[in-house]
Amino acid sequence: MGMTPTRLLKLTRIYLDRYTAIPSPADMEALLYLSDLYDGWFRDTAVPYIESLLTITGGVWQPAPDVPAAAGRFIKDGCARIIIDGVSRWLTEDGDNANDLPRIADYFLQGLDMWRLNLEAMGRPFPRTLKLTPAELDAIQGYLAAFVSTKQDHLARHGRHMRRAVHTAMMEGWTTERFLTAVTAPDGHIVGFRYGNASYSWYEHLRRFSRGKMRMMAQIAQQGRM
Amino acid sequence: MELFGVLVRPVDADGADIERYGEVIDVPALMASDDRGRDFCDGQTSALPPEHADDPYGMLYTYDRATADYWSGIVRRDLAERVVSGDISVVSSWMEAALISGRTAAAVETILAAETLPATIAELRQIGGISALVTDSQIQTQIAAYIKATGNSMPTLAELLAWIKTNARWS
Repeated sequence: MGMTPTRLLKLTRIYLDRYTAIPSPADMEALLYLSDLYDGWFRDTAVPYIESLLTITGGVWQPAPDVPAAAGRFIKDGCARIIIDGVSRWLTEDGDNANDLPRIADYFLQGLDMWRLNLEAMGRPFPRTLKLTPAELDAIQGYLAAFVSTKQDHLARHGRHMRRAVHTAMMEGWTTERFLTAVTAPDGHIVGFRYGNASYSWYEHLRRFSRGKMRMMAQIAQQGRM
Repeated sequence: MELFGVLVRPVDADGADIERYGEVIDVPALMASDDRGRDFCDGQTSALPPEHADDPYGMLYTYDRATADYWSGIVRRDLAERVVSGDISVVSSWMEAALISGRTAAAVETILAAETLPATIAELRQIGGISALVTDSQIQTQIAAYIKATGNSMPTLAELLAWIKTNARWS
């Protein structure tokens, strides 16, 4: 317990500065841009496509049995192209860093830096340079696969959510405007899927993903070396 | 292997949630329990920080409980000092508990040092029929225990006797 209070508080401050800087604003912005792209595509391309499949009488959608499935497929394809491919690229491409690591590994490496500060707080010897071990690279690969797989699950849920919304709109005789209101989350972005009792937009989902999961990467790296 | 974590977060603004600030976590026990953190919006959970996407807490790890408690004391004291100096305005149950504990400790000290203490003990003996085998020191211990447990720094004789009857092993 040789650590003085002043030294511990200083290390804690440095630790928190590094931790709360995750993710970088540029990285978060790059991910959130996908949701803006998707919102635009949904309103400008997907909705006119669904309308083209429908019979609309007096502005009101009429029931047509094949439309929900076709609309769901079209929306899923667009979402896969814009959101899922985009997130996969975001995870694997070089982040805003000076090395050749994919973005996700870069945050893992930042966690190792936090581990080094932790060792210093414990009064233990700490390494001057940090390198990912083969086991850590394997672990990162595992998380990468898990994240992409989770996004595939979200894509399926998004497709089902939209298919149900189109079905309800036809059965209850909504206008296009009312449909758009129903598939827009309270934050003004297109709903991704429902979780619990709330409608989450892709924007909110990606915001939480970039912040929560990248900080989780750093914490896993830190704890893994303890 | 034992592993403990101390929760820390940036506290730069008034009204920040500091309820868990300095909390010591027994990491293996947490991992083994069912109380494994809250949901991320995609249904995944995390026992360790961040428990959810906007969880501001990070964790400093150490291998023994004594060091974790020491660190916890340092970071909490620092925060309390910032509150006292007017740097920030935050409250938490642990901060209030520390204040109450400080006040009761002062109250115990005052009462046990009071010139009237021997007279109070004599009255307690007389009214409560306390055996002569019980020492003054034993009665003082019970008075201090009463103040610490209840926070009542000005107890009446009746309150002290009721406490002694319920809690003192010799009563």
